[in-house]
This record gives sequence, structure tokens and C-alpha cells, in this order.
Amino acid sequence: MELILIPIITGIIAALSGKWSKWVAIVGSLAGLVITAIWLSKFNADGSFNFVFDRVWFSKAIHFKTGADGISMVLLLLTNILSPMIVLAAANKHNTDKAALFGLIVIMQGALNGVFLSMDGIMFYIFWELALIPVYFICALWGENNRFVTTLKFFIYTFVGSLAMLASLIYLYSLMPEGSFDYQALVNVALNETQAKWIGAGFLLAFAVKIPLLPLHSWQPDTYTEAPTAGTMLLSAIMLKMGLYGLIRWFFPLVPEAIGFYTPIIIAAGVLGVLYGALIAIRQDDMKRLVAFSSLSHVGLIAAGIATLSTTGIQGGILQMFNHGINVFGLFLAIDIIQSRAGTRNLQHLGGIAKQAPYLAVGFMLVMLATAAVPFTNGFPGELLLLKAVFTKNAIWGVFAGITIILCAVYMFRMYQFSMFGTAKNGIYLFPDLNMREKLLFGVLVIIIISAGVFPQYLLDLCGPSVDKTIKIIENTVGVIS
Amino acid sequence: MKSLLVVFLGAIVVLFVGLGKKETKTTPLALLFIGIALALIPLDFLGKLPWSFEKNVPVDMLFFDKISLSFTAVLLLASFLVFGLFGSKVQVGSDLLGLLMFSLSGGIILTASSNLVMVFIGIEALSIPLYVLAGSRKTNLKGNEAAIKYFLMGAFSTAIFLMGCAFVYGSTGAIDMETIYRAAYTMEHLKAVSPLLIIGTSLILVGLSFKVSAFPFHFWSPDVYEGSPNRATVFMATIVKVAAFSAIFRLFSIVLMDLRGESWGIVVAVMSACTILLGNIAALRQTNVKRTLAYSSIAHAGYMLMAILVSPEMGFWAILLYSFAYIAASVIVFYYFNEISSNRDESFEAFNGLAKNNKFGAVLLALSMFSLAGIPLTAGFAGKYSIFSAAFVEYKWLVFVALLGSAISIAYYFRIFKSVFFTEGDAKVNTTAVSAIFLGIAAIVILLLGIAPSILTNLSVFKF
Repeated sequence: MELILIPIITGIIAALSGKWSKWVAIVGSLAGLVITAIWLSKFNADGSFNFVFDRVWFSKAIHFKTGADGISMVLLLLTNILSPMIVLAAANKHNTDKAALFGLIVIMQGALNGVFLSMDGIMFYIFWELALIPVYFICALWGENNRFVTTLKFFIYTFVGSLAMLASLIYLYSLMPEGSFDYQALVNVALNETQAKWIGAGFLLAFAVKIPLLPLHSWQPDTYTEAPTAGTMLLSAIMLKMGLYGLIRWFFPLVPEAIGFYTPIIIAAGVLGVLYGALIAIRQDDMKRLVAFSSLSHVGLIAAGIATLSTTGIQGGILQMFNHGINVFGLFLAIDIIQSRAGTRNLQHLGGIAKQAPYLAVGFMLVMLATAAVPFTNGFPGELLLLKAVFTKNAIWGVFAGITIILCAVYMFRMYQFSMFGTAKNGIYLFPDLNMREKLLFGVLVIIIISAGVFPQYLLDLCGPSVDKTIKIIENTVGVIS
Repeated sequence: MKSLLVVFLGAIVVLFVGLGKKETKTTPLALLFIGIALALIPLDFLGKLPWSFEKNVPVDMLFFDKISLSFTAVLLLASFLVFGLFGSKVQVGSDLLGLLMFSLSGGIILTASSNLVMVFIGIEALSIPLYVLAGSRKTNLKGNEAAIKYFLMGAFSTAIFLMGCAFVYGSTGAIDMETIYRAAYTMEHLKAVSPLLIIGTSLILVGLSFKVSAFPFHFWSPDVYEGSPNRATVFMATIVKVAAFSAIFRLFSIVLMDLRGESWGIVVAVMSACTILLGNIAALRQTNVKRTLAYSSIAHAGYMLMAILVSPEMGFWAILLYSFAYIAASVIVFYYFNEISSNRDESFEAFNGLAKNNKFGAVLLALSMFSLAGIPLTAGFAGKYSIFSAAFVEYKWLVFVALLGSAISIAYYFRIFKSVFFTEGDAKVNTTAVSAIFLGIAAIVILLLGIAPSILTNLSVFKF
């Protein structure tokens, strides 16, 4: 409750408070982080929902019901760590007069917390949509030249997906004698296979657009490229995870009857996305576009891992959701810094930055290594678990997915090498190194990357019991999943 | 009943206060009467009122139950906002204001009529002042076209409606709704539905569909909306539509509810689907904002028709919520359209850059666009959700069509967005403090019903 309301209210205040807005926004988003930390200290990781808050909302059927289990906790942690950092990253000299920008970021934080906390179908839908609105405005107001067309495409894609999900929710609701949208009640509905396929199609459309899974990804590279950095960070680091979270929390437990039909599709779409994204990323010169395609490749692997429905797969997916969020934030931060100083983010025009900006070179290097899943960085354990899960499920898909590590190293090193080393092209002679604000951001990133790389067990223990419980829910209906 | 009398009295007073003078400011007077009428609604609710056709309650020709009172509240709120926002700036002749109030009293009669003759009188009282108003810009060619079109279409549709009444009388021997209700019930149970009754119902449906501009009787509305002065257009788009829907609701959802599966259910469902698709798709291609709004209001009529198809308990609450959402958002959008088009043209470009010069206006416009498009936490979503979830049980395909329509509607609502927020320009609206209060009321309705729609259900626990 407080995790939703405090950011939304401070966000509205921040949007109205003129030049003080970034300070209000930082306080509001840090408040979210503090509450998450307090919750973590009280959290009881036994697979049940903690901190349940339940009030009647629209009618008897629709409640305002929030609660957090281990899976939600990991994502709440991600959202509330990254939101203050995104506000801080946006607080550069270009954005001094954009009061509404900071407000919208914090409103977004509240809406995302709402998505991860919802225990009622309609409430989930409402926050799912609500999270779309701030990011739409951020992208459309402060994006690049072609922004209106791309953001409209993005909005229509996701809105159609959400409407399909609403139809599925109403369908489920209409199958109950005593209608209710409570999570447990929705899980308990028994379906036949045809119903499960239809209902699953609605949910899957909504989630696949957000993740994005092939072939529904076409909004993603354009939107990432055209959006302002804060918008890209919100979209790629946190918002994508809504779709993956939706798969674990809503899709599989609600329509387990249809998993025989849908899991091969999701795994195939995920692995194809892995290859497709990586192959295209190798050829990109625009750094933002490159990271957009690499992101497509990484989330494809996460989706495939989750769809194996094994403990390793889902746990690895959750771990990787957290780590991918951190890493992709770091990459876009580095790109933003390079672009604002060099005036371009085209790899053909960049070079020789490392000599002039050693701090940036080290920070960027570490983030890049983490993205390429080098051991002792946070990218490694998650990727390992995911690959193991996909390989166990289907060896051929596993081999294809494994290529991701090689390809990822290729495009990441190419990006790093072209931008940081070599000779300066296009007259980049004066490239100031990181200032205090940026050093702080990279410092926090480095700490998270190393500690999550060396001690991944903390996050795994946090979500483990909830993952087991989710798998048990599915197995109760369809029997043991091989 | 009290509200009707107050509005009627007010119409006469307003008409005569300004008689013989060229320019008078009678808007506050009209607002006063409507305000009193609005204030009388809760008082009426406190009394022990029947819900609808309960046993042992004598039914007069005008029957003020809770259904009619709720719809009257929507009508009065809508006219309160319309009079407040479209009367204060330009000096409005008192005769025109008086006519609008007569039209409003026609609408109230329509919500309360329990007799086909009263429905007819209500429609006529609602429409005749508007025929005059549509052509009140005497030198404007489009205005004349609109008035003629509206008059001819209106006259034809009421004639068809009367024909339908005759058929219904022929088959049931009655024109009061309670008797028709029992006759339909008996026929349905004896499996002997008279074909005359079905023909009569269809003709009545045609007559009323003209008024709400549902497919295939919608074609007059874009031209008429475009040609009429904005004050009349917003009146047609909100008050006329809601009043006609209250009549459709009572006639079809309640009186003829037993015949839905037999006869009119599938017809209304197909009409609703076509209305939604046609309204939304045609709106995409318009370059004139007023025509876009006209097509959007056709689409909204389609959504409201869906609520006729469900059980009256659910349908009533859904259609009421939807009406509140629809009028509040429409009034805001039409207000800004009116202000901007009076200085500039009626194209989308006229809205360019409004967000820079008028933040308050931009935020309100965004809110009402969101509500019309059905984005959560606005009243529009609550209304759409309640209609869709009620209709889903029996008409799954229709809900899919409606969802598709909502998705399409994003594209044209967001064109206004694009102009307001993302394009450079110098659109400007000087909102007076008084207008700001009325706009604020409308915005509060949108937000309040969006965040907590249960206040409306709790107010009126509906049972038969």
C-alpha cells in the first residue's frame, strides 16, 4: 500500500514543484527504497504472501489487495533500487527545467510497485496500464525527432495486448459461480483445454508484447532509440520485467491446463529471439540500438528459461531479471554520458575515450563484462542456471541458446572497443571524466554487480520457496512436469 | 417530479425575463434553476421510492422511480456543466437558453415515462427546441444544412416510432408499459409471441436509434454536429443521447426483457458491434476535430447499446456509470474545442502547443481523452469495464469487437494529444475562474468515479 501511494503522491508533488522537483523526486523514490529495505528485513521467505493489505474497491468482486512473496520482493528490490538511480541519472544539466520528467519517473515507480504487489486481477490490470502512461509521456515529450510515431506504435502495441488480457480476466471471472478477481480464486478455477488456450492467448499476448517475444518485438528497437535516456532505462530495466513477472505469477498458474500447448511456443520464440537479437546487434552502429537488440536477446533467454517450468529455470530467470535490469541501466547510463559529451553515439564516429576518461572506462568495462556474463559478475550465475534449464528441457534449443554467450561477447566487445579505444575521430579531443554524481552512480552499480556476482545465493533464497510453490500450483493441475 | 417542475418553471421564467430585450445575461438564472433541480434529486432519493414496476405501486403516465431519478441526475449534471461552460462568455439570447431548458424538461419526461405516449411527448419536447437551435446561426450555410437534416431525420424517426407504437398497441392492446410488460411475459411463456409485437418493437428500436445515432441510423450525426453551433452540438451529444438511452433502457431492458432471446437481442448486438466499429474507424480518417468527436460519440453509443443486452440489474449500473463518464469527458473536450475553434479553425492543428500556454487545460484534456479511451483510474474505464464484464457472459464476440474498437480509438484520441502536447504552436485558451470551477467539477466526476466507482453502486443498490 505505502509502496504504491508514497511514490505516486510525491511524483505528483514533484511534477508541480518547479526547480525543486528533482530533490522531491529523489526523496520520494528513496522513500520507496527505504520501505523496501524495511520489508526485506521483516520478510518471511516461506513462499507465502507477506504484508497483505485487503480492502473492497470497485465492488465486492474487485479488491484492492496487495501482498509480496519472494518473487515480488526481488522485483520490488530492483524497481526501488533503480528508480532513485534513474532520477539521479536524469538530473544532469540538460534536464534542469523538466520538472514533470522527475515527477513522472517517480509516479512510474509507484505504478510498477503496484504491478508487482497486486493480488487481484483487475488491480493488476489497472496498474499494468497505469505504468504505461508515465513512460508514454516521458518518451513522447522528450524523445528524439521521430518520437510521436514510435511512441504511438509502442502505445498501441501494448494497449492491444492489455485489452486482450482484460478479456481473458473477464472470461475467467465469468466461469466462476461466485465471481471474484482474487488471485487465489483465479488460480482455483478449473478449465478445460479449449478455455485454457483462449484465456492463455489473451494473457500471453499482453506479456509477449511487453517482454518482447518474437514476433511482437518490432516496437522495441525504435522506441528504445527514440526515447530519452530516462525513458529507455525505465522501459528496458524495469518495465520489460513486468511481462516476465506476469508469466511466472499469472500466466502459468492461471492456465496450467494449456502449458503443453504454450511452453514449446514460448521456448521457441525465446530462443529465436536470442539468436535474432544477437545477430542484429553485431551489425549495429547506433549504441542505443545495439543495446536494444542485445536486450531482446537476453530477455528471450529469460523467457525460455521460465517456460521450462523447472526450479532452476524460474529461479535463474528471476535472478537474471534483477541482473539484466541493473546491467542494462549501466549500459544506457554509459551511452548517455558518451552521447552528452561527444555529441554522438554512433560507433563509427567515436573512439579514444578511454585515455581521457579512465573512470568511465573502468565503470563501462565492468558493466559490459557483467552483460557478457563473465564469472564473478552478476550476469554469470543467472545465465548459467537458465542455460542449464533450457538444455535439460531440450538439448538442441539449449545449444542454440548457448551461442548467446559467444555472440554477446562479440557485440559487447565491439561496442566497447570502437567507442573507448583507438584514435579519436570526429574531433573528440576534450572528454571530461565522470563528475561526482556519475561516480556515485557507477560506484553503486559496481558494488551491486560484484556482490550479486559473488553471492547470488541471497536472491535465490529469497525467491526459492515462492518458486517451488508456484511450480506446485501448476503440478497440482497437470501432474509432475518432466 | 419536483425537478421536472423546477426545470419547466425555469424555462418559462428565463424565456420571459429576456423577452423583447436584445441582449440579456440570463445564464446565472438558468443555472440557478438547474442547480435547484439537481439539489432536489437527493431529497427524492431519501423518500421511499419504488425501483421499477414493483407490485402494488400504482403506475402513472409519468413514473418517478429510482431509475428515472438517476438518469435525471445525469441529465441535470450535464446541463449544469453545459450551461456553465457554454453560456458565460458569449451573450446568449434568453430565448435560446429557454429553448435548451424546454428540451431538458423533455429529456426528464423521457426518463420517467411509463407510457408510450409519454415517450413520444418526451422525444418531441426534447427534439423540437433543438431543431431550432441547430439552425440558430441563420446566415451559416452549414448551420442551415444541419437544421434541415436534423429536422427531417428527426421527423421521420418519430413517425417510425409512432408506427411502432401502433403495432405494439395492436398486439398487446395497451400503451402503458406495465401492461405491455405483462403481455410480453405471457406471450413468451405461452411460446406465442405475436409477430405484430416484434414488428412494433423493431420500429420503436429504429425510431430511438436515430436519436442515439446508432448504426445504421447514424449518418445524419456528423453533418449535424458539424453544422450546429457548439452549444447545441454538445447538448445533442450528451443530454439527448443519455435521455434517449434511458428510454431504450426502460423499454427494452425492463419492459421487453423477456423477448430479448426471442427477437431483439441479436439485432441490438449486431447494431452495437457495427456502431462501435464504424464510429471508431470513420473517426480515424477525419481532419476536422468536430467530426472526429461526432464519430467518437457514435462509437460511444455503440458501447452503451451493449448495456441494453444484459440483465437490467447489471445493465442499469453499467449504463449509468458510463453516462456519467461520457458526459463529463465530452463536456470538457467540447469546451476546449469551442474556445479554440472560435479563434482559429476546427482542424487538429488548431490545438498545437496548448500544453505550453495552458497547462491546466492540457491536463484536463488529457484526463478526458484517457477517460473516453477507457484508460484505468478514469471513469471511462470503470464504465467500460462494467459494460464489458456484464456483456461477456452471453455475447463474448461482441466484447471482443468492443475491445478492438477501444484499441482503434486510441489512435484518434492520441492525435489530439499529439497536437496538444508534442507539437509547437500557439493555441491559447483563457479560462475564466467560473469556467475553471465547472471544468473542475467535470474532472472530479471523472477521477472520483474512476478511482472509486463503488460510491455509485453503494448509493443505489439495485434490485428487482
